Amino acid sequence: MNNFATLRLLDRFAPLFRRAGIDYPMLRLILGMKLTMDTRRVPTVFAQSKVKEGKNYFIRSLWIYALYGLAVIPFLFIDDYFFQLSIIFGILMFILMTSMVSDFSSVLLDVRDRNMMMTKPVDQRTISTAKMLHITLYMSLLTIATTGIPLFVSLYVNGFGFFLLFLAELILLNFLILMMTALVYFAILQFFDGEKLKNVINFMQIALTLGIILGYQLVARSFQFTSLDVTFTPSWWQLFTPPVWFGALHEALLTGERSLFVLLLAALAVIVPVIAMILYVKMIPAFESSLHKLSTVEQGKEKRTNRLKQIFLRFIAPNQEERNFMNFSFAMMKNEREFKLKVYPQVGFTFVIPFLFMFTTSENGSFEALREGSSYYLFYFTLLVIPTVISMVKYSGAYKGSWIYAAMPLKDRMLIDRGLTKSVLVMFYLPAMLILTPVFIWIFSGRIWLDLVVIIATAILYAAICTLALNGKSLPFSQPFSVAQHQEGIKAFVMMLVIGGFCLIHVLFNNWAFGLEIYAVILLIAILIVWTLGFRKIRFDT
Amino acid sequence: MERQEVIRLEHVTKRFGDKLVLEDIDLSVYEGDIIGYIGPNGAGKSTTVKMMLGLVDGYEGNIFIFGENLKNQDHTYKRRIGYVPENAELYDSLTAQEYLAFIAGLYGLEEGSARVKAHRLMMKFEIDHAMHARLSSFSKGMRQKVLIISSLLHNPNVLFLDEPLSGLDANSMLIVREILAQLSAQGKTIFYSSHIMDIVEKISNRIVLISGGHIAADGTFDELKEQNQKGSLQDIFNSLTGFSQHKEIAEDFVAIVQEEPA
Repeated sequence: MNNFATLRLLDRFAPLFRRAGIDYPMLRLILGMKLTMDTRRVPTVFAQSKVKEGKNYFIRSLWIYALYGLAVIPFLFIDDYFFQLSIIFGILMFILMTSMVSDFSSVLLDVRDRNMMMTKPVDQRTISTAKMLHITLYMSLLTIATTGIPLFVSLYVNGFGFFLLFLAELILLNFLILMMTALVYFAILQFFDGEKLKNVINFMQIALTLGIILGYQLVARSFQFTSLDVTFTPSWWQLFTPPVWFGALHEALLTGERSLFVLLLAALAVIVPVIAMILYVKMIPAFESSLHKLSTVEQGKEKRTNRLKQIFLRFIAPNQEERNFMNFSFAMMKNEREFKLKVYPQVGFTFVIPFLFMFTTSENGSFEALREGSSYYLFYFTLLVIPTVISMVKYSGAYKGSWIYAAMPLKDRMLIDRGLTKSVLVMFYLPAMLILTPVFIWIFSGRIWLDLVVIIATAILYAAICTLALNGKSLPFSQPFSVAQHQEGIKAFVMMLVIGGFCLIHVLFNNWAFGLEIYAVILLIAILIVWTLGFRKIRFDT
Repeated sequence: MERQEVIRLEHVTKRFGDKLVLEDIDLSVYEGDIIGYIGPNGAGKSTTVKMMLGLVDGYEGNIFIFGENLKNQDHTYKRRIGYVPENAELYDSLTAQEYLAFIAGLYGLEEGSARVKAHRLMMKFEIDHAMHARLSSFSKGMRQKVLIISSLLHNPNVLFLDEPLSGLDANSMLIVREILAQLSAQGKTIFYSSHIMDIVEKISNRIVLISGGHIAADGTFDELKEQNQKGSLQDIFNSLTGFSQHKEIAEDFVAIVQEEPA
C-alpha cells in the first residue's frame, strides 16, 4: 500500500513539505491509503465474491483524454503565438475544468475523511494537503494524458523555448483550476447553510460549466480574422479570460511584445494562480471546518403531492410497481449529493449547446437564413443528457441500501429498469423538451413539428438503449461512487456517438417524400419492441 | 494513591444554530473511571464526545484534557485517546490488515511492531483468518472487533466507546467487558455510551445521565438507586427522563400494525 510510483516521486519533495510545516510521513500514509482504495472496487450486494484487484480504473481510462488532446495539435502549426495559445488553452481549460467540476467536486467536498481522521492525532493541514495532492495527482495525470502528444509535437514544431514555457503554463493552469474551484466552493460554504447550500452548489456547478463555454467564445472573439492574418483586439473582458493570459505570456516572452496591455495579461497568468494558491492555503482550515455544514441534516418539510404529477405518472406508468420504482428513483436522484455533483454540470450543456451552435453558424448569415435552414437538427444535442445520467444511476453513496432489492418480493426485474429509465426521461429530458420545443418552433416555425416528434421519439428509444447498454445487469443505486470511475465516461461517450447515427438516419429519411412519416412509424414500432422485449432481456443474475 | 483528573468540562454550552444542545455542563473525570454515559437520543451525548475529540468546535466554556485547555492544544493530545464511534464508517475497500496499519500509522506507531501487535490482537479475537480480507466482507461483529482493536493499538489513556458491543456475540461481549474492567484497573479512563441499560449497569463504576442538555444524574449505580428509589438502571433512566407510557405506546403500535388496509 505504500509503494506507488507517485509516492516515491513525492518522496523527493519531502523536505519541501517539512519546511511548510506538514507532517510528511503522515501525508504519505494518507495518500497511500487513498491510492490503494482507488485501485479497488467495493463489491456490491449481488456480487460478493467478485473482488477485483489491481489496476487503477482512472488510469486505464485516460486514453480518451489523449484523443481529446489531439484536437489541440492543428493549432500548433499556426504562426501566431498569441492566437494559437489562447485557443489551445481555451480548449485545455475547457477539458480540465469540466472534469474538475464534475468528477472531483465530490472529493473536494468529502466529509467522511474529516470524521475518520480528525479523531486521530493528525493535524488539519496535513489532511487537507493530502486531499489536495490526491486531486492534483489525478488532475496531473489527466493533463499529461491530454497534452502529452501536443507537447511533443510542439517540441519539434515550435522549438525548445516554446515547449518549456508551454509546460510551465500547464502547471500554472492546473493550479488555477484547482484553486478557483476550491475558492468558489469556499465562498458558497461561507454564505449558505443546509439544504440551500446543497442546491447552490449544484447551481454553481452548472454556472461554472456554462461560464467555461462562454469564456471559450470570448477567447475566439478576441482575434480578428482577415484573409491571411490574425490580429488581437484588446478588450477589458480579456482580463477575465485565463486562456488569453497564457497566450499573452507566450507572446510577451517569445516575441518580445511590449504593449502594456499584453504585459498586464501576461502578468496575470503568473500572478493569479500564485495568489489563488496562497489564498487557498490560508483558507484551508476554515474551508474544512465549514465542510461539516454539508453533513447536517435538516428536518425535511412534508412535500405536497402534486395531483397533476400523479395523473401524469399514472399515464406513463400504469403499473403500480413500476410507478413505485419511478418515485423511488426520483427521490434518490433528487437527494443524492454525489450524483447531483456529477450530473448537473452536464445538464447545463443540454440547454446551451444547441443555441451555441446556432449562434456561431448564424454569425456568418442572417437570422432569416437560420430560420430557413436545417439547424433544427441541433435539437439532437438535448439527447446528450440521457447517457450521462443513465451511466450514473447505478451508483449511490448509500449503495448498501440495495439489499432491499434482494429482500423484497419483486415480481419482475423489468419494472425496475423501466421505471428508472422513465424517471430519468421525466426528470432530465422532459424539462429540456418543454423549454426548448417552443423556442425551436418559434425560430423555425411549425414546419419542423414532425422533425421534433421524431427527435423526441428517438430520445425515448435511445433512453431504453442506454439503460440496456450502460447498466446491463446492475441495479440502480447499488454500487459505490469512486474517483476512479472513468470507464463509464467512455461507454457514455460511445453512446453519444450513437446520437450522431440517429441524426444521420433522420437526415436520410428527410430526403424522400413521406420519408419522415415512415421513419416516425418505424421509430414507434422500435420503441414498442425495445421497451417490452428489450427490457425483458435483463434478468437477475446472482 | 490520589486519582488524577483526566478530563474537566467547565460551563460547556453548545448550540447548533438556535438549538441548544448542551447547557452549562460541568463534569470531572478521573483515571480509572468507567463512565456509563447515557441519555435519550439527541440528548447531546455524541456532541460531548465529538467536542472532546476536536470534531466539533464553537462551544462556550472550557474543556480540559490531561490538564490542558483544548483551545490551546494542537492535535497531539489525541495520541492518548482511543475512539470507537457510533455506526462507524470504515474505509471498507481496505483489508483489515491495511486498515489497522493505516490507523496505527495515524497514531504514529512504528509499522512493523504495529503489524505484529494488530495480528496478535486479532488472533485473540479469533478474526486473524480474515486479516487479508476486505472489511466490506466482514460481518457486523467482525467489524466491531476491528474497530475496538484500532482504538486500542496505541495503548491510549482515555477511551471513548459508543455502543462498542453492538453486533458482538455473547462470548465476545464477555471478553470485551472483561477487557474494559482490566483497563480501568490499570488506570485508564473509559467513556462508555450505550442505550442498553443492563450492560451499562454492570460495566460502569460511575453513571452520568444526560437529558435535555443537562446532567440529570451523576454517581455510582448504588448512589443513583438510593436517590431514585428504583431497582434497575432502566427504571432510573425512565423516571429521570420522565417516561412511563411504554405499554400504551406499544399497544397502539401493535393495533396499527394489525389494521386491515382500507
